[in-house]
Amino acid sequence: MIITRDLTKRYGHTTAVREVGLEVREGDRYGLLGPNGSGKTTLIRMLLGLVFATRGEIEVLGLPVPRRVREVLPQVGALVEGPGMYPHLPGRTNLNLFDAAGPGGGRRDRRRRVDQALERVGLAGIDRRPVRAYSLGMRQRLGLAAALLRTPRLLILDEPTNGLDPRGIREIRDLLTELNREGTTVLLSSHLLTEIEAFCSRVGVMDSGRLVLQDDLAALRAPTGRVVLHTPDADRVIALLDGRVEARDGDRLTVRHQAPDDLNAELVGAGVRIVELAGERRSLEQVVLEATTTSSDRVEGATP
Amino acid sequence: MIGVELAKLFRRPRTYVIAALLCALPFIVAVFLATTRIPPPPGQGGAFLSAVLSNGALYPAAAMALVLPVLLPVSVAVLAGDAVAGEASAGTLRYLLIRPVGRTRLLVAKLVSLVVFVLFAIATVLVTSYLTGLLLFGAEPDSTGVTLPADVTSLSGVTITPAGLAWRLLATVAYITVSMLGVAAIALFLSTVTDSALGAAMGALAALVVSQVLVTLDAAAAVRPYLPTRYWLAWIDFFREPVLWRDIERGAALQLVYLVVLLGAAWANFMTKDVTN
Amino acid sequence: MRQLTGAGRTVVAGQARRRCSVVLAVVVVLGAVPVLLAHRPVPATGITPAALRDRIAASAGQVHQGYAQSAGALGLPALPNLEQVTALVSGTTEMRVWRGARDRWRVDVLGPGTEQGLYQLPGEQYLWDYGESRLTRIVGEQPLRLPRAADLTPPELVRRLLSLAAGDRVEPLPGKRVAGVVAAGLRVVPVAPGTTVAHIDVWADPDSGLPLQAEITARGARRPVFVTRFLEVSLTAPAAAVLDPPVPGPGIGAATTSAADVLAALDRWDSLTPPDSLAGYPRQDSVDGVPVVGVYGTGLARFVALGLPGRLGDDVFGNAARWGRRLTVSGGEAVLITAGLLNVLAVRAERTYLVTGFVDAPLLERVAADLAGGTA
Repeated sequence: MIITRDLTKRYGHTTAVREVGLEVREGDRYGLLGPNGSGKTTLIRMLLGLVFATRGEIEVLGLPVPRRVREVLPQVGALVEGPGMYPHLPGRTNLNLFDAAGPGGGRRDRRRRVDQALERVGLAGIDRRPVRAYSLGMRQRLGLAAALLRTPRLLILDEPTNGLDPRGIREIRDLLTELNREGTTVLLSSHLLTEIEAFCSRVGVMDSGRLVLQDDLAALRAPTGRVVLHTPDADRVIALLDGRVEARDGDRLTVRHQAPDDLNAELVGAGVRIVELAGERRSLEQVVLEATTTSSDRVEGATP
Repeated sequence: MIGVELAKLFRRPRTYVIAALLCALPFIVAVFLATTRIPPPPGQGGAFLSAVLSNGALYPAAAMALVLPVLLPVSVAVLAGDAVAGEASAGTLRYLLIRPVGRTRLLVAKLVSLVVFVLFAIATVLVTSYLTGLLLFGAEPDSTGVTLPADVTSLSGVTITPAGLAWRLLATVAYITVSMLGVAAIALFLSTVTDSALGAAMGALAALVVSQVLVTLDAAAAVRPYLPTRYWLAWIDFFREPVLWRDIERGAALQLVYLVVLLGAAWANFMTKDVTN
Repeated sequence: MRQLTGAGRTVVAGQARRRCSVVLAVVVVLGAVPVLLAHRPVPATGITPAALRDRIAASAGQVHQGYAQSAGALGLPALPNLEQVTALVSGTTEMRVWRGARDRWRVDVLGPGTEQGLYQLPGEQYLWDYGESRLTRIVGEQPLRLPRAADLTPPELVRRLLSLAAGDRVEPLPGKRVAGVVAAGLRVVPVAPGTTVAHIDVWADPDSGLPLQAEITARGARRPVFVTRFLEVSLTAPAAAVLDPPVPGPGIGAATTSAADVLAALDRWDSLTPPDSLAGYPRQDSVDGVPVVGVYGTGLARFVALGLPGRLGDDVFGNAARWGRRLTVSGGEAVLITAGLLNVLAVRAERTYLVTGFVDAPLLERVAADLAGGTA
C-alpha cells in the first residue's frame, strides 16, 4: 500500500526525515511510533503530497506521489496533526464543505456520505453549534469523520486519539478495528506505546528522522525462551529444575525453557502448586528501548 | 471548488461586517454634508462631493471615490492575505489539499471569490449610497408626481440621462473590481509565501502605500505608468463627456498584467510549497 | 522490496524551477513590450527643416483631436492672481483637444475629479468650470489676456514660438514617434542676445505640419525645462456635438463677460503704461490701443512689462520678494526671480511693474535700473 525508499526531507540545515524505507502492506494495522519531533508528521505529510521530499521515492496505492497524488488521494482518508475545521461553522457544514471540495457524487450521495461518516464516529446527533464550541474530543471525532467521508482503502491517521478520554479512545480503536476487518489498511502514528501495542499488527519506530525499526508486532514479541511462573513452592521448583532457574523474585521465578506447556506438565506432575505460568515475551517497550539508542527517554509511555 | 469558496465567503460574518463598514463611510460623510451643507472646495476632498449637494443621484459616484483609495483596498488586502495563509494557520488548507483539491484550482477559486466579494461590497455601497443620496440630498417630484432625481451633470457640464448614469455606474463597478485585482493578486501571492494572514495583508498594503506615494512624486515619473495605483481613479473619466478611455484602458491592462504576473508567481510558489502548518 | 517507479516522481525541485522560469519569462516578455514599442525604428521623413517650418505655420486649420500633456519644471512661485499662469509652467497639465476649425475648437483641462473646458465658437467662447459648476460666456475677441492651458497644446505653443523666432536658425532633428505618429523634427536656435532659450525642439506630422511635440531647453540646462506633447492624437475632425458647449441648466451658474481675466481688468488704468523704452529697446504695444502691456525686444528675447495698480502691485511685489533675489537699484526696490527659462522681475518705485520673458538676468537688471530710475 505504501512504499518509500531512501526518503529524505531537509528544511534548511535540519533533516526532518532521513532515508526512510517505510513499507505498509495491504490489510496492515501499521503503528508508527516515535517521540514528538521524530519526523512522523513530516513523513505522513510527504505520503499525502503536502510536503515535498528532498530525496527518495514514494509510492502509495501503487502510484508515485506526488506526481499522481490526485489519483491516490480520493482513496485515502487522513487526519494530519489534529483536525482543521472552520470554527465559525457547525460540524456538519464543515463536512459538507470538505466533501463538496472533493470530487464525486450528486447532492443526495454527498448528504448520505456525510451522515454515514458522522454516525460512524458517534456524532450522529450533532447539533448546530459552531465547531469552536466543541470539545477537543468532538473535534477529533469530526476530523475522523472527514477522513472517513469516502470509505477509503487506506487511512492515514496522525495521533488520532489525541484529546479523547479513555472511553473515546476505546471507541475509536473499535471503529478502526472494524474498518480494518472490512479491508481498510490503517497507518496510524502515535507517541503512546500502549496505544500502538493495543491496536497494531505492525510497528515502525522513528527516532530523529530515521525509521530505526519496522516489523510485525508478533515477530517483535516472539518468545524469549524463558518461562515466568508464580508458585508458593519456589524452593521446590529450584531444586527440581536444577540450575534452569535464572532469577527469583519472592514467589516469582524465571526459568529457561522453550515450551511452557511441557514445563507446566512437568511441574504439576511433581506436585508443585502453580498460581500462574506463561512463556515470556519481550515487551514492545523493551524492543523500542533497544532500537532507539538516543533520547529513548522521550518515548512517553515507555516507562508505564 | 468555486462554490465551496463562495459558500465560505458568504457564511462568514466578517464578509458582512466589512461590507457594512464600507457602506458606513459614505453614509457618515453624507450625514455631515447634509447637515452642514459645506461642500469641499473644488479639486479637493473626494471627487463629486461638491456636486452631490445639488444632486443626490450622483452620490454613488462620490461614495466610490470615498471608499476606493483606502477602505476598499484594505478590505481586499485583508481578505486576500487571509485566503491561503488563513487556511494554513487554521489547519484547513491541508484537509482541502488531501480532499483532493488541485492547488491551481484552489488559487483560482480564491481569486474568484475575492472578485465576487469586491462586486458584492461595491454593489452594497452603490445601493446604500444611492438611497442615502436620494434621502439626504433630495429628489424632486416631476410634473407627473413621480419622484425622480435631478439630472446629473457630467464633469464636462453635459447632462447625463438616467440610462447614461446607469451604464456609467455599472462601468465604474466593473472598473473598480478590475482595479482591485492587482491588490488581490499581490496579497494572494504573499499569502502563499507566508503562513501569517496579517503579514500578507500588511505586505500588500505596504506595496500600495509605496505606490500611492510614488504616484504623487514627480521624481518617480519614470515608473509612474507601472504603479498599481496609478490609474485607480480613472473611472472618474467615465463621467467626462465624451468618455476618456485612455486611462481606463491602461488601468485595466496594467491590472491584468499585475494579475498575470503575481498570480503566476503565487502559482509557481504554491505548487511546490510544503504545507507544514 | 519491489522496484519503485523511477526517480523524478517524488522530488519536485525540477518542477519548481520550471514554474519559476515560466513566470520569469512572462515577466520579461510583459516588461519588454513597452520598451520594444518605445524603440521601434523611426523611418526617415525626408522633409527639410525649412519646409517643415512652413507647413507648421500653415497648420492652424488642420483638424485633429487628442490628448496632450504639458510639463514644466520652471519652479515659479504662485504669485497672487497669477497662480493659474505659474501653475501652467511649473507643473503638469493634462488636456483633451478637439479642433474642427480655426474658430471651432475645444480644450479641456483635466484634474482629479474636475474639468475646465474652453469652447471656441465663432465670435464667442464658453468657459466651463466643473468645480465652480459655472458656465461663462465670453463675447468678442480678447485682445489681451493671460496665458491659459489652451495655449500650451503642442500646435498652439509651437506656432506661437515659431512666429516669435521667425528670424532664427533652424536645424534638422532626427524624427521620432509621437503618440504613434512618425514625426519630423526641427530645432530652433535663437540668435538674439539676452535670451534664456538655448534651443526649441519641435516635432510635427510631416504631411499636415501639425506640431505634436515641443521641448524648450534653457541655456546651461541639459534637459528641457518645458515639454508639451500629444500622448494620443488623431488627424480626424471631431464630432460636432463634442464642440458644443454645455447648456446651462438647474444648478449651473451662468455668466456673460467680455473680459475674462485680471489682465483685461488692468487695462482700465492708463497711468500704468510702461516706459517708452527699456534697456535700450523701444516699446511696442502688444495690441494696438492697449498700452498697459509693453512689449520690448526681438525674437525669443522679447519681454513684456506690465504696470500693476497699488494694492495688487504691493501684493505681487511682496510675494515675489519672498522668493526672489533682491537687486540693488537706485530710486526703488527690485526683485528678480530666476526660473531657468522664464525670469520674472518685479520693480517697485513710484509704480509697481512686473517684467517677464525668456530673457536673462543681466538684461533684466538693466531693465530694473531703468524702471526704478523713474523714467515714466
